[in-house]
Amino acid sequence: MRRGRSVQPLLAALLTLLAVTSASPQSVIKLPIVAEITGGGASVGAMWRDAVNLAVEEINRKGGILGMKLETSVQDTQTDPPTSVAVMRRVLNDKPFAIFGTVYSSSTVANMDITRQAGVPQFTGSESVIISQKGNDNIFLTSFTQDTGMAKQVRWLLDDLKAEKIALVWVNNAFGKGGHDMFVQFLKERGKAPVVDISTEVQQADFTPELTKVRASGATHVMVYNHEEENARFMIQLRKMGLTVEPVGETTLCAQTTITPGGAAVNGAKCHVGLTAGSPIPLMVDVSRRFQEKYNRVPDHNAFKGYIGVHMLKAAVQRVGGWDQAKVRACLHNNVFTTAEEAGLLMDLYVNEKGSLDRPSFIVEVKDQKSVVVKTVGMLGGPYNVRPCK
Amino acid sequence: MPLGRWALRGLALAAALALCVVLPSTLDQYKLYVMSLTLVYAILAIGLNLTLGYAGQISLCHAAFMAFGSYAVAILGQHGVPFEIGLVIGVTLAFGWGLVLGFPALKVKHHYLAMVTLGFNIIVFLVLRNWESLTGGSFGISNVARPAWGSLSFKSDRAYYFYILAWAAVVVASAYWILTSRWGRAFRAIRENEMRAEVVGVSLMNYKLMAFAVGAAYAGMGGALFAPLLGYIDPGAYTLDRSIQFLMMVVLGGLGRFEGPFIGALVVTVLPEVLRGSEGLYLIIYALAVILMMLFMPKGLVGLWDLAWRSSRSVISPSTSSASPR
Amino acid sequence: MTDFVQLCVAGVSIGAIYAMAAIGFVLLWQTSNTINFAQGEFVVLPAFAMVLFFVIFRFPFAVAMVATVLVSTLLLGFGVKELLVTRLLKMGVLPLVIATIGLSLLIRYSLQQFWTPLALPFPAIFSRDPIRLGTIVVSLEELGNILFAAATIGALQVFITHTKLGWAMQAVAQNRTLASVLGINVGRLVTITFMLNAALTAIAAILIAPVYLVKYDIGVSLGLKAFYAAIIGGFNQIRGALLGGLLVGVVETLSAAYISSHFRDAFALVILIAVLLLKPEGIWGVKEEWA
Repeated sequence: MRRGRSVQPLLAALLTLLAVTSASPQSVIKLPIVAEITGGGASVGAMWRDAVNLAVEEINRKGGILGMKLETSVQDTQTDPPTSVAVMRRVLNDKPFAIFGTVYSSSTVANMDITRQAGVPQFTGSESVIISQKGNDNIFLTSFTQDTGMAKQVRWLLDDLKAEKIALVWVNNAFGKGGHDMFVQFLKERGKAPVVDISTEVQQADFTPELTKVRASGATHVMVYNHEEENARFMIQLRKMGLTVEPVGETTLCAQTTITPGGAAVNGAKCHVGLTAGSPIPLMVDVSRRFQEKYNRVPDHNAFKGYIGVHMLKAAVQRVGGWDQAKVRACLHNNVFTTAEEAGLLMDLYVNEKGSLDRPSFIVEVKDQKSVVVKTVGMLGGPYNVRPCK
Repeated sequence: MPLGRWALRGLALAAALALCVVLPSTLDQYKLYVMSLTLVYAILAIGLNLTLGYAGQISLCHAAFMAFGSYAVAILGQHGVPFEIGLVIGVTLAFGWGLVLGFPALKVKHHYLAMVTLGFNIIVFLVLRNWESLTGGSFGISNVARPAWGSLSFKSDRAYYFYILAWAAVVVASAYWILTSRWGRAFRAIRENEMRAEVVGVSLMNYKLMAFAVGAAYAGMGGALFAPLLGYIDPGAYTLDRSIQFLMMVVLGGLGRFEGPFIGALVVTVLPEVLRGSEGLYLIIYALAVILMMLFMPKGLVGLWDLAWRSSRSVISPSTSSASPR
Repeated sequence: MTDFVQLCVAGVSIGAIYAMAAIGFVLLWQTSNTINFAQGEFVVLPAFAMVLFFVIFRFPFAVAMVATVLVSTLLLGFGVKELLVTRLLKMGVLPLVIATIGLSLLIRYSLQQFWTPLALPFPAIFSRDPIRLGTIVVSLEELGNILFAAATIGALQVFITHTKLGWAMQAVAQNRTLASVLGINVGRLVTITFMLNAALTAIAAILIAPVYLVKYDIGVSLGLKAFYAAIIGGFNQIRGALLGGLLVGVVETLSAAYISSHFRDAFALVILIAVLLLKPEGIWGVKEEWA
């Protein structure tokens, strides 16, 4: 009886699992969303999920892809890599065509081997450079990684802003370190180095050490590369100390999630960003409007990534002309996709042999607590050729 | 003739082992992974249960001990060192640090000890993150190698599951042996009342130290098995949050009860899967469950079947009263 | 040199905040042997309440402040004590510790799930215009935090040493059994202590919110620092909390600037562990008796 009691919950759990993972009809294409719905990454995962759902809904309304309807489901990784691995395995049992997620790099690195073994193409919202360095031919990013992003950033800083002395403040985790290493590398290629190189912690509240160092170094520009809340606090304190250094950033500094808590202190910050709701590109403006209509909030760059990811899949499948995972995978390497053939891509993009993107990007400035696009930056490399995939 | 409590446990364990050996042939890769993970977490929980549940020493740094095991196996594996050697080194490291931390355990009590272990966890995390050349820093270590004996490789999920199961059986057997020996009796005496135990002749120092160190060693073992299961490790897996997760696991299952860690590991690993529909509420439900459990069922889920067990017996003998240590 | 002073001012300012969170912690320990692992969240919840009253409902600042303190005192003081602590205290230290860990997770993830996972802006209480004193730049916010914290701690100290209720608290802190024999209603006093703690954390929230911004997870780091502060300074003395808080704030800031920002979180920890090993009752603490 004792044993019975301990086995009962196990059996109940297993039965539920069996019921839940039973086969579904084959007339739809399954595209599960594996994302951070709870835990530290909740806001990020929610944006990704909502955008993917929006894209799928729109596609289905117009008849699907190659006549097949798409079906999504949402799986929560709890922003925990081991859980994301478990969730990924469960999702693969259903034999999906492709997977959308995860967004956090530490989870993606953990779970991308499994999707590769299963041969299911994975579209991720992660941006960390380590993902493209693992030699995985099954992973497709929906933004450029830090090696492309920082290359563009440095080019803009030195050529456009003519920055003389640059201080670097970065958050000490995989995201920040990746950005830091790339930034320093590209500066080095131009014969420069940051005059200050100081790391911060997630949830850090006081940035006086960083700010005093920046002030003492006489830096003209400070590259601010933390997560959004920390950026907000940093900017508030920068203004409080009356520093005259120019704040510049890459994606996070000028994001709405930095501006909202940071308020007027963030005004004047200039950033190079891959995607922004303030983009003047009509396709993006339109998606932003539809997102706001459906979800009552402004999409952030994670939402755009999710949306574009779905359309990357659509473009590849259409070019291949069929639902063949291996061919779709091959098509998504070393290839250019334009908005002419697939408007949902929002911008022309090039997918390189590592699954990472090259794409136009934007220079924004924060004015009146809004991110305003002041310039569009073209692709880093190219010109690229369109490869057929049949 | 009624069987003793521990003899019954032995039988139950043997049956559970048989189940664990037979079941996987019917499971797909996902459920197999969940079972493997549960076994690993159970090993960790057994360690913490030993330290906290039996010897009453608060440890908030089991994730750090786990890290020693994981990183030992991962780093040495990168240099071609056989898995078992990495495992032994990891376990020894964890045991060693358990001894080192055990010393302050003698001088301080309860909340002070919680702070020391908490501080240790944070420091270990920082070292793991910042010592890039050794640990890969924030970027972690990928492709952690699974064990292989010559031509016999445990790379496949099924094979690795059995490998984990074998070590889990060793851990459980050793825990069983410890708890039925005089060590076990000494631990329980210390947990009940330190002063009294000392008066009766229990050498507090030795036992507290051992409780810490052995609990740490188990955590190291769990960590060593964890790394190749996941295939990728980074410092973020070994934070204070993780230590607290293990604490919850042990508490939910039942502190100081032999079955506790298994139930706790099972519940914490499997529950989110069962609660799939309630997107986002698991953590809230756990937290609520922990609070309610402390209020009404401090013995954990094991306490549930205590009640059922007791109410189903017609004769109530003194040995099953809730006051006596188990 | 100017940088050094600048850093010290910042360290003291943030340390004052840590001290505010640590005092109540110390009070709870003294009177009821409660280690409140949810102390950080006891600050976060009132911070969200402030957002509700001041930003959303647009009450005048003073009204919002009073409302926040009342809500906090009721829920986190009276509520937590009557529903949780009374029952758990009888079972020993461990169940209570674990329950407060559970409580901290409950508050944190409920706020994240049911309100928002994003950071909310909070209007500054004191002016943020830079004031230049030579080459050092401070703002009213830094000074305000320091002064406010000092005033609160001073008031508390007066309360403890010069009022009947304060004496009763001291009595209970020193020897609960004896105090009870002397006719003090210990249970009620503990409730009052909890309510006092909740009021203190609510005030701390109002000071902290403009600096930390209001987000569900700011309690994690704050709670930790409050523990460090309380233990380093002296777990059973209010001025210990003040000393501890200031020390943690200053050490953190200085070491990040002069030693290594990579190990920023470690320096206060090293001091903590040293104190625990060498003088476990804290720098200004008094050795505890078996009560």
